[in-house]
Amino acid sequence: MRQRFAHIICIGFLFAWLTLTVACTSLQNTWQQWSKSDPGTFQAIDGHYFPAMIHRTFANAREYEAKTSTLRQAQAGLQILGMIPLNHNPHNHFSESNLAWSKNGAFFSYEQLDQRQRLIHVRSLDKHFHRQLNTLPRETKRFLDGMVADSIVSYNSGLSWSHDSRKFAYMSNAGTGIYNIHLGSLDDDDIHVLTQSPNKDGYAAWSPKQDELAFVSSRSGAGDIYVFNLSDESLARLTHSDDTDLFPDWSPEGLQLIFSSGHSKQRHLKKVTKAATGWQSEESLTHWFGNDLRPKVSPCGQWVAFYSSQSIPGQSDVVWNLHIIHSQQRYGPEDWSKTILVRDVVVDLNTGPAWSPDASKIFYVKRDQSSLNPIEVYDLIRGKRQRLKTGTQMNRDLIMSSLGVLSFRAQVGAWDRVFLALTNQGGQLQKIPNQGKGLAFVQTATGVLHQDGRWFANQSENPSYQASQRHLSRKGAR
Amino acid sequence: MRTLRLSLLINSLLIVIILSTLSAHAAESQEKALIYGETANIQSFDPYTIHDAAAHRLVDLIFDPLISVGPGGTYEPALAKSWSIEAGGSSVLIQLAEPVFWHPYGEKQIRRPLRAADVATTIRLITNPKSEIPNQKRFDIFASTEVLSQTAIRIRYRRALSDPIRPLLFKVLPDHILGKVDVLKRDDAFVKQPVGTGPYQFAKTNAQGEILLQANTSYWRGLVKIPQIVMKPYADRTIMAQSLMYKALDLVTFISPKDTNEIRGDRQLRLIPYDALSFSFLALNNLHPVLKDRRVRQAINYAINRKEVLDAFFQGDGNLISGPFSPTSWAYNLDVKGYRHDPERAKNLLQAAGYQDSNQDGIFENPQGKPINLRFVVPVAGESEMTKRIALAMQSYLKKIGLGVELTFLDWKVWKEQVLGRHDYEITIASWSFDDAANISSLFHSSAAKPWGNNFVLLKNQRIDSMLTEAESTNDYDKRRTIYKALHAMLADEAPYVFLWTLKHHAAHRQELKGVQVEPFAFFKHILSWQKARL
Repeated sequence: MRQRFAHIICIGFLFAWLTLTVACTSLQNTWQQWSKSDPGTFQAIDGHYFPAMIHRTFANAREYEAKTSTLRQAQAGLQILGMIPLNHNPHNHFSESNLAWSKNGAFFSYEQLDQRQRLIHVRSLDKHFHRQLNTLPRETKRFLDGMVADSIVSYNSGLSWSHDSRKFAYMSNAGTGIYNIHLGSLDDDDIHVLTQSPNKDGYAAWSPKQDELAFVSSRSGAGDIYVFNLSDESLARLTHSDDTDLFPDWSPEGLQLIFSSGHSKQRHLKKVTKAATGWQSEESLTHWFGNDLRPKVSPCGQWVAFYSSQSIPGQSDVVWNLHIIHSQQRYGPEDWSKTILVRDVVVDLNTGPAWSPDASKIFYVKRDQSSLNPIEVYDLIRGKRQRLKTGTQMNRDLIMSSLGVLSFRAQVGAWDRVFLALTNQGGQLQKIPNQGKGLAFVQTATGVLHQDGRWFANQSENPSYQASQRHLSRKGAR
Repeated sequence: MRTLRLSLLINSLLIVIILSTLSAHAAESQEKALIYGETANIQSFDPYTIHDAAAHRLVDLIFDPLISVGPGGTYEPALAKSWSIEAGGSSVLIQLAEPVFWHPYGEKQIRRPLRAADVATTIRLITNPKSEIPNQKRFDIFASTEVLSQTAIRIRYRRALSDPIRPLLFKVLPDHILGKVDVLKRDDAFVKQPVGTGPYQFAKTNAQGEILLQANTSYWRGLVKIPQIVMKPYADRTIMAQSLMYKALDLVTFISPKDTNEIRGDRQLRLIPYDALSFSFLALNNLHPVLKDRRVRQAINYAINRKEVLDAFFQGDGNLISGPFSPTSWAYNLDVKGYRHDPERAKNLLQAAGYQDSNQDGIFENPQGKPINLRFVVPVAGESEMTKRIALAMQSYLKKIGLGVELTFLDWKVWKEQVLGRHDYEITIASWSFDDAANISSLFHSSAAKPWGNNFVLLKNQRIDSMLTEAESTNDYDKRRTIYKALHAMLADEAPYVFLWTLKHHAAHRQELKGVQVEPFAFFKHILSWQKARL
């Protein structure tokens, strides 16, 4: 009897050991898999252009690698290598929108408007991770809630990723009716309220370099920009005018914030700069009679793309154009037409114009009477537009990941669906020119705009442009 | 010396007190101004040469109507304190309210009293065919005026009316400024510097198109509680909504459907629904070889999932309709349920009409083997993408039942020429404003099936014609209601349109604004009870 008992114990120990070993191996495998999938360290070489997570997401990525033997071939032109809908269920009766990529391109968020609540999905590209953010009040529900008055539903929007791609911030009313900035992480399920103000806080923008969060708040008046330092928990008010300041966007070094400021029909671009002594007072970047919206700083930090309105004589409606300016120059009324890239585009206030990771191209949606909002790309070096063949209609919310996945939403039936298109424009394939400093000049619709503010209407007068064209033609010949 | 010092101290104190009082007063007046946003650039401020809803809302604050509409469509005294209907509805005797004064005018800022001559001058100007007034035909009914005293006037119509008060909802213009003017023009000085009797008087406008109104301190209905109103124009609806959310505005008169949920989720804001007073429809060209068959028109009605479109694009804020009346109207027939989304039934109707998908490509062909391909002509105006999006969804529904649809987007003016002028279309999308009197003759009577007629679907049905004529000619309300309810059922069955929906619009305001109540036809009608409190 005792012998049999010892036997059972031995078998038990053996089983426990085996289980533990299998569990550890499995954990190790998962971790290794996870590490391999980290695209931060991925370097493209001949025949290998995408990290494992891209292969798992886009079936034809490996096929493309097999048939494209050299890196030079993979870099050529703009190619859409594959396109998939984010969710495959055609019976979903809700719209998806506003996708935001983590800095390493491994994770993203998107929003879902379901009935009257807006929730955020946080996902990894290869679907290993999926979490839903639908922040609700902490206190327990009272008996008469929703019976004696309209209950306020949870509204969550505008997620911004941290510089290490592990944390995120977003605006939420938490179902309480007060909009604050909330913080979350991929590593746990906790959600923290960053700002505890009875006034509205929104437009969270996480610094690309450190744990600083910019946001817009109505606590001091008509919408000012604040920065919260997560390390020392200090709060700084950056703007002080009576204007409403919206859409703060960081420069890649985290030393400047560019935003749209103004009231009624007049809004201009402004910037605030962080010096050794702290944040400096705001400076104007544009100053003309127009409405400048949704600035997006290029990945190299040199240029800013945005929308600006143009009144049409005799018509009450305005046309919106896509503009570009250099982030260190100031532009007046005489510069307005010089900075136009594309006329008559669709204004997309969710994501704004989308930069390619090498800062040489801008993706946008063209407003076209004869078609249904096609996606186009503007090549800043060549000054040429190209329409993308996505086969989708009523496109919006364009944004490109660091790995070159262009996400956008498009109308399918009566609903909006998010699509992912793999391109060869990822940062692992295309490098920022000028040794990472970005383009010294860009080709606009009307001429050549230099980083020093000079502009040439006639290309033959512009020595830099001529040199670049010679370079491009040599590259094309190869 | 001590006296001098004391005096200096007192003076300094007085100056500080006066300065602080002045600055406090300035801050308070800023706080007490109502700042609201519109997405229109308003350049004329008279009630007649303007054409957009934003201008009408602003003008409601400056001018008063002769008679206004009250709850349930009843008539309420305004500048007319009483009236009596004469000669079987062919004239009305008006007694004006007293004392009513015009806003101060001229260098001496004189306030003149309201007189019967003001009403006579208004009717003379709005009936002059040379006046630049959109939809001026509505005033053709006026025949003449007879000033009986300073406060009494008789207004005669060209014929007896079943509802002779309805034409008297017009706003009154000042005779002392326009008495010698023959026509109203958009570039008249009066249009830029209006003088009315309303609760607010025009003060100034600036280069950005912002408009400042000051309270009329002699307003005949009482004093408003908000001393100033500022209208700010915006180029983008979302930026306007964001300005409200971040406290730059107190009120926005129209919130885009995509922004309503964010506002609904903010305790500091209040969303106010109001009826859009119009209905949307798909118009089907009833003379087209394919669409002349009622079964095909009914199939199209069954194909469209109207509920899904209303939910997807308007957050469900509206009502599906089965006929050309407001669901709250006395003429609406609640027994007509309309077409529920039923693609299978739609396909069966197409088959019954002789169409088959012989080659199994998903598109039905006629007996000669020609696939159905309908031209859907879509008007596109301005930045709005909504019409495009709805048309795209409609195309998708119709394709699912086997109808090929080719979308063509046309500029608004080209669309009017092609659709209303030449009837060169097969399907289009449009909307009509609800008529107060529920008069739908011009929409469906065969006499209006002509170039630029409102019956641009070219419906020609003798029974519907005779019922419309009978309803229009009778003064018997019950009889008219019975006819309209029958017409509603007939039109639903005949399916010249796909009746879509009537929308619920939303205004929104900050909670600091109290007592806000809006009327769809007269947004600021209850402005006297509005006030702005500090929270």
